[in-house]
Amino acid sequence: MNAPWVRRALPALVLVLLAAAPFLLNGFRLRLLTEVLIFGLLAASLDLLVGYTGLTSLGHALGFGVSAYATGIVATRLIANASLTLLAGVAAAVLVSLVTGALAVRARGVYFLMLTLAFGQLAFSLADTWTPVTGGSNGLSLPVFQLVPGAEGGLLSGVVGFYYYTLVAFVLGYAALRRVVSSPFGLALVGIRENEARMRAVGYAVQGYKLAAYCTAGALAGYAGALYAQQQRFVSPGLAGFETSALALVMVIIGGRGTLVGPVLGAGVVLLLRDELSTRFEEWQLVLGVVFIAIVYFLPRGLAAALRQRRAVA
Amino acid sequence: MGGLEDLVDAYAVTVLNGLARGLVLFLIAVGLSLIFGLMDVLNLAHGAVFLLGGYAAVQLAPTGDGFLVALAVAAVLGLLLGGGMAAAVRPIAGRRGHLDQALLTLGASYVLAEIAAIVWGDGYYSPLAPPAVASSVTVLGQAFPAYRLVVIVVGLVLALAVYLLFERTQIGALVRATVADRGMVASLGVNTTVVLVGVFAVGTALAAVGGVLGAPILTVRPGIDRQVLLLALITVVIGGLGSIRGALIGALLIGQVEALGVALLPQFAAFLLFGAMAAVLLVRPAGLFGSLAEAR
Amino acid sequence: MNVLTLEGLGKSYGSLVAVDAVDLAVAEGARHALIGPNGAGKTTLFDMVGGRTRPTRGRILLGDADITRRTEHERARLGVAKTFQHSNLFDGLSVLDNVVMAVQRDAGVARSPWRSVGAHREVRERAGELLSRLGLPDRAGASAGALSHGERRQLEVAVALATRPRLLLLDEPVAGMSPAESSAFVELVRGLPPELTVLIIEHDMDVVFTLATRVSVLHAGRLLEEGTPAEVRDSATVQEAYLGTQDADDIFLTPEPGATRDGAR
Repeated sequence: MNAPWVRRALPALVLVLLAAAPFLLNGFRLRLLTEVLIFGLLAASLDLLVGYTGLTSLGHALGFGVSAYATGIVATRLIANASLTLLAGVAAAVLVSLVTGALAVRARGVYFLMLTLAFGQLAFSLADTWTPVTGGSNGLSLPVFQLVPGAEGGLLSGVVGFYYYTLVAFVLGYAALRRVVSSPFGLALVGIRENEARMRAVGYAVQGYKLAAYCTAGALAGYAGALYAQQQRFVSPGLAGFETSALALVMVIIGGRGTLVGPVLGAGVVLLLRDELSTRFEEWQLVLGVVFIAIVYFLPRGLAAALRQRRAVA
Repeated sequence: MGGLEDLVDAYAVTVLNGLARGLVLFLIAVGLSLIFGLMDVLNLAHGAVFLLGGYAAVQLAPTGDGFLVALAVAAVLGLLLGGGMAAAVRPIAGRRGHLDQALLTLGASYVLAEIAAIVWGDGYYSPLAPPAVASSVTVLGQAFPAYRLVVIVVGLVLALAVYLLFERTQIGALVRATVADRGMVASLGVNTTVVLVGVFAVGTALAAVGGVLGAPILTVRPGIDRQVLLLALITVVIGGLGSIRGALIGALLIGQVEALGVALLPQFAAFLLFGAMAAVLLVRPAGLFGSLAEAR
Repeated sequence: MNVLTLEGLGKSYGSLVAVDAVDLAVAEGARHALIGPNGAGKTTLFDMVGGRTRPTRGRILLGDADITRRTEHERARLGVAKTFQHSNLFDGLSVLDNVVMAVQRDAGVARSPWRSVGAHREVRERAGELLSRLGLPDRAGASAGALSHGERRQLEVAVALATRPRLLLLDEPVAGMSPAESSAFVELVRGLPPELTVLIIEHDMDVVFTLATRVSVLHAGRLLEEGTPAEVRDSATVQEAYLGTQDADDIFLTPEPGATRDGAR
């Protein structure tokens, strides 16, 4: 059942399905799928920290939010070009990750968790109060983005066009993460998760590796944040806040940490759940909370592991 | 000269405000800190308990009458919630880092906050202070709400009581020993479960009581649970996890930074807070009263 | 030429002196054993050499270079490798990956974030060779957590050697081993390259006297005696220091059971 060709064919099949999605789904669902891909990137980048390096971050929305705002500010003040704003967003996220990461990787265990939480919240406060630049709690509304400078309207204004743009961006981002985790650097991160003392003993500068992981994850989060700003054409302080960080963490845990693909699945489950619930009840957070609790007890290793187990049994 | 004196007087009021806020914060932070020290559990639902305490005041003492009833109800509610949480967390404590408990307590906080939202909606409530202390008193020539002085006094008394309980009594010694070395205490034949559940319950009750006490000062509204949780986390980070003294000093410091920040630089109040935390952590990575061993 | 030189090295915790001004020189290629009763400060001394503990006085030289203020990972890069008292591996990873982790660092490719681990053929090959040399070639695919106690020690040495050290620190390597495992381990250490310098803490005196070319005796944080194994065995000072026990031979021949912890930690 678990033959090599299945493992080879599965990604191709998924890719074909994703490419065919605009023909299978209505506009509303396609928008949701676009969002799933974007949050899938965010969750997968968080998995690099949580699942591979063993650093639990509660402030991963920092890079996401900062990049979304950088995208928004460049788009409203300079140029609403998709790739330029994406670049600006990622650059801003890396810069912020470098500064906060230098502090955070010094902390151990639960202190890392608290520091990252605080940094995310700091970005939230900044976005909320620095009204002249960020629009304060009203946020910023953004114009339609162009793929090529000078082109009017065009590809990215439609739901289908934007979906394909996101799909390409997702495949590139996901493939990059895949390469990173299967590289010697990725193995070193797993080593840090497994046994930090041993890593130091064989000569690894552990803090440097942690910082590199933190910044890589931050860059990818920024990549997702820029895409999200371009899709929503609206940014608000909540993007950098605790809710977003918690949501990303939940996606990682639900999907299965240390698998990359799991968190993307997790993003699908969480966003679908949120959409389905929020249209039916106003109190969807109540159900979400119950789901979180249930997962801790009944699905402790995530969906990816559960699926793999079923396959192994079958 | 008169200008300078006015300035000093104005800041005296600010300092008192900060003291009142700081002591409310202590009531929340101390439970968070002890629960972590004892069980290695970071309870992200702690802010939601505070929120429920606030709504207890809204429900039972909106005009200040029945304030003591609200306090008692909140305390009992807190004890029950804390006991329940302790039981829920027990099977997963110590499992694979802090991820599961983060998710579990986060889920609990969603549930509690959402229940509150169903019952009380998304309105802003400011319950009144109890009538006996609803007036203002004059402090250094400035009018100051008497209720805030009461909060300061009650907060200090509770802080002292918690301190004495943990530092000077047999029970406290047991708890401190359990913080230091759980296995050792268990091997002495002490039922550590009782200690753990007890501290979880009392710590949670203190947060609920803090919610009632703080309600007339702060506005009770959805979302304040997150804000309060974050402040408590910063407090605990600054003070050092598992330390009562640390929680008190951290809370008083944050109270002052917040009050002065709001008075001086309202735009940057949040930055002052995080700046204070970053500064402390740069110098002492495990907080003022924490040891590195605890930070591991 | 001395590979390791300690000059007046000491560590005190407040008023408690764990190690008191130790002078020690370990010659290149030596099999130098450090012995002494529990609490003598052996592990503290080791931790200072390895970089886990900062000395409060004195200097540590590796060759001619002063490494006193170097961090643990910097020392590893300069050629100080070690095995831990309590076996310390990447239990969740395969045996091969445990060695690859060290080889890729040594080969300078550990920062490479792009080509896959498998594409670095030279790293895998060297890791495979090391496993063969240390008698674990058929265990490459097993999870490190599934190894027997003796195999874990072998793997630890493989990981240590992967960093191509000048100095190898072995902290009670045969503690908890069966006699068979223990003598296999002795053979393994004997088979190490002759130019590699080995400093070893051991309670099992059979192992010490079989392996060591030099022996230093640490007692209450001070260096009591140093010499060839025969000199140390016959030393009056050493015997005197152990007079508390009726027969000095006891200390040397029968290590106390379960004496795997060093009280000075």
